[in-house]
Amino acid sequence: MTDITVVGAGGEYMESVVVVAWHKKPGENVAAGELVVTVETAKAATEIEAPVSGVLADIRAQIGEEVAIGTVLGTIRDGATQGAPATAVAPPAAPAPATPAAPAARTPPAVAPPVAANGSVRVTASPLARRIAASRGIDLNEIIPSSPSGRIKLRDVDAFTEARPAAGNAPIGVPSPAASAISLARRGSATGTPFVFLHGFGADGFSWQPLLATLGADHAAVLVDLPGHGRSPADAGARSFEDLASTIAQALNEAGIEECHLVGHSLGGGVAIALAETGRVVPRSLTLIAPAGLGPEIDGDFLDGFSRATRVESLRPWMLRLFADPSIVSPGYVQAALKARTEELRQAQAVLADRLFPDGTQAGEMRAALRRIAVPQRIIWGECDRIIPMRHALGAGPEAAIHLLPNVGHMPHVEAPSTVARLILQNARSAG
Amino acid sequence: MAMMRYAEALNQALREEMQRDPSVFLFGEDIGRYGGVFKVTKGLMDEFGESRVRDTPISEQALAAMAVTASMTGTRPVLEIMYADFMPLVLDALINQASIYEYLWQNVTMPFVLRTQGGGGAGAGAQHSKSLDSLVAHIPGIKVVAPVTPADAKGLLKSAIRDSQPVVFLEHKLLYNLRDEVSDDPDLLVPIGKAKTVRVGADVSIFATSRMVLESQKAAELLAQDGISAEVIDLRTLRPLDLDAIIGSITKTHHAVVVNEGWRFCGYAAELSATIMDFAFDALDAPVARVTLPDMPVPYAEPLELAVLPNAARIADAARATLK
Repeated sequence: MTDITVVGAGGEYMESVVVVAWHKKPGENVAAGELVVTVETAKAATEIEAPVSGVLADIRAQIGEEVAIGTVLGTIRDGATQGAPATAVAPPAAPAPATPAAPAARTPPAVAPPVAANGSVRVTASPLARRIAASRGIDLNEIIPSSPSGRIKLRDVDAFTEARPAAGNAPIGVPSPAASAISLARRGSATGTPFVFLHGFGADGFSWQPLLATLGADHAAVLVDLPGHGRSPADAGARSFEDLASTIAQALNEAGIEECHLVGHSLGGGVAIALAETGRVVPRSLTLIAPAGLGPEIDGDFLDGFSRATRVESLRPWMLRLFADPSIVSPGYVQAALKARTEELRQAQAVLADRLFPDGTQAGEMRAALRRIAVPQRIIWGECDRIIPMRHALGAGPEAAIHLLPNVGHMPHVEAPSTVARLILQNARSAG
Repeated sequence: MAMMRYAEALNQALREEMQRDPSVFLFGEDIGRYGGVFKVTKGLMDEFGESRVRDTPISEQALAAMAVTASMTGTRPVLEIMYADFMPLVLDALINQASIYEYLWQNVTMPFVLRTQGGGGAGAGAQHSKSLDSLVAHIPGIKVVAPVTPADAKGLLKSAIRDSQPVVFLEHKLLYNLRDEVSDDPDLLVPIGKAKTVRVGADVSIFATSRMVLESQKAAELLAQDGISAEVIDLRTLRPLDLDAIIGSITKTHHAVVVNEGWRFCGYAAELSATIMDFAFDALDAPVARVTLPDMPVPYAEPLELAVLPNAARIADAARATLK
C-alpha cells in the first residue's frame, strides 16, 4: 500500500490544499506517473501523479475538502490481480501488504462505476438530475446512468439515494463538518411527530419562546439554531438555502428526526422549503411565516444595518423595523439581542446575508420547489411587514392557505404568538 | 349549451359580435353569397347586408392593407384569407403596418382579426396544406390563436374581435366538422393567452395547438396502455404564450414533447422548445422532443401525406424516447 500525498510544486510553502478532482475511481488501475488527483493551492491547481503503479485503493480526501500538506489523500495497492495494463507492470515501490487489501474506506456503489472510455471527466446528466443530486449532496460521478442516452436522469439519482446507507450512518457526498455541531434544542413532549422550528436571519432558536408558551407542552418541538446563529457554528461553505438545508438535514437525521412538521420564519422559511427538497427530512405539514425565497425583494438596508450593528444605538432602529408595534422593542430586548450575538456570529451572519441576499436581493428562488411539496401548507404574513413584501405570499401554490395578520410586522410568531400557534396546530392536524 | 360543428360555432361567434357591435364587418373571397368555402360565414350576408359582409376579388395583399386601415379608422374588420398557404401575401401588411403603427404613431389601435385555415390531411396538395404558424407568431405585436374545440373556437373568436390589437385566427380544415357542446351565452369569452390542460398526467407533458391537440390526446391514450401518464396541454394561443401553464406542467413531469404541424427548422416547435429551456431548464430530466412536419412540401398522394404529417403514433414514440 502506497500513500498519495501532496508533494512538489506549491506544496513547499503552503499549509493546506483543497482537493479539486479525482481522476481515478477506487478500484481503477493507475500507472506510475499517471495523473490521479488535482489539488488547488493558493497559487494554482497542482496535478498529483501516482507514485507507483497499482490500483487506487481508497480516496480519503473528498472533493472540496481542505487538507494539510502531508496528509494522505488516498492509497494505491498492488494491482496485479486486477489485470493492470501491459504498460503499467512496474513493481510497486512499497512492499505489497501481506494480507489482501482491506475494503476501501468509501466503498463504491454495488455496481462498478463506469470508466469513461474517452477519459473525459465530465458527467452527462439532465439539468433536473444535476440539481437534485446537488441538493442531496450526491456526487454524480458515483451514479451509473440507466438511460440508453448515457445521461443520468432523476430516476438514477433516486435509485442511488434509495440504495445508499441511511443518512447518519455513512453520509455520502461532501459531508458537512458543521452538521454535527448544529444546536437542536428539544422542548415539550418526547413523543409524537416533532415540530421543527427554523428561525429567521439574525435570530436563534430562543426566538420561538413566546410561541412555545402558547403552543403548550403536549407537543414535541425541536428548535434549530441555523449555522452561524445562536449556538451553531458558521458553515463556511453555505451559499444558498439548499446548502443550509443540507447541513440541517444531516443534523436532524443524526438526531433521529426524519418525519416532522416544519415551521420556518423568514430565512428559516426558505430553508424549510429546501429542507423538504432534500428528501432526507419528510415534512407532514409546512408552515411558513413571512418566508424568504418567494420573490426577489427584501429590505437590503435592514440586512446591511442589522448585520453591522454592534451597539444598542445602531441595532435598535433596525429592530424597530421588524415590528408593527414599536413598544415591543424595549431597551432590554435590544440589549438581550445584542448580548446573544457574539462578534464571531455577527461576522458569520454578515457573510451569510451577503451570499443569500446579495445587493439587497433574494438570490434564492424557492417558489417552484414550494409547489412541489405535496403536504398541507400555510403561509402566515404580517400586513405591516417592512422586511419582505406580503405579496410574496401569492407565490405559494394553489393549495396553500394564506393568512394575513393585521397590525403585525415581520415577526408574527412574536407579535401574535397565539394566532400563529393555533394556525400551526391546525395545519398539523389537517395532515392527519 | 348546444351541440354544433366547429364551423357553426365560428358562425355563431361572428353573428353575435356583429349583433353586439355595429362596427364589426366581414370581408374576404366568396364569404358573402357563397357563405365561405367552409361555410363559416353562411347566412350572414342575408342577415347583415352587403355592406357588412363583403365579397372581394382575389387580392390578399390589398385585403390585408384594407384590414389595417379600416381598423385604424374606427371599425372592427374580420378578414378571411381562404388558405393559410397564401399568408405570405399578407405578411407585408402584418410586418410593416399592423405590427408597428402602434409603435410609430400615437393613439393608433388596429382591432382587426385575420381568419385563415391551414393544415394537411385533406389531400389538398402542397399549395393548400401548409401550417405557417411560425411565420405569423414571429411578429411582435400580433396575437395568434389556434383553437381545437368548437367552444374554444367561438370563445376565442369573440375575444379576438373585441381585442384592441391585431389577431391572427388560425383554423384547420379538418376541424370544421368536429361537433361538440358550445355555450349559447353571448357574453362567454375564452381569454387570449390562456392554455388549457386537456388531460392531466404525471410523466410527460405534450404541448400542442389546433388539430395536433387531438393527435396528442390519442397519443396519451397509446401511452397509457404502456403505463405512461401523459399530460396534454392545449396552448390555444400561440402568442402570447401561457408560460405559467407550460412551466407548471414541466415542473411536474420533467419531460416535454412539443408538437406542431408546421416545418421543423425555425418552426413554432423550435420556439416552444427554446422557451421551455429558458424558463424551466432545471426542471428538465431529458431534452425537449419536437414532433413536426419534416422540412418538405406536404405531398398530394394520400399514403405519402399520411407518412409525413405528425400523428399520435409519432407523438407517442417521441414521448417514450424522452422517458428512456
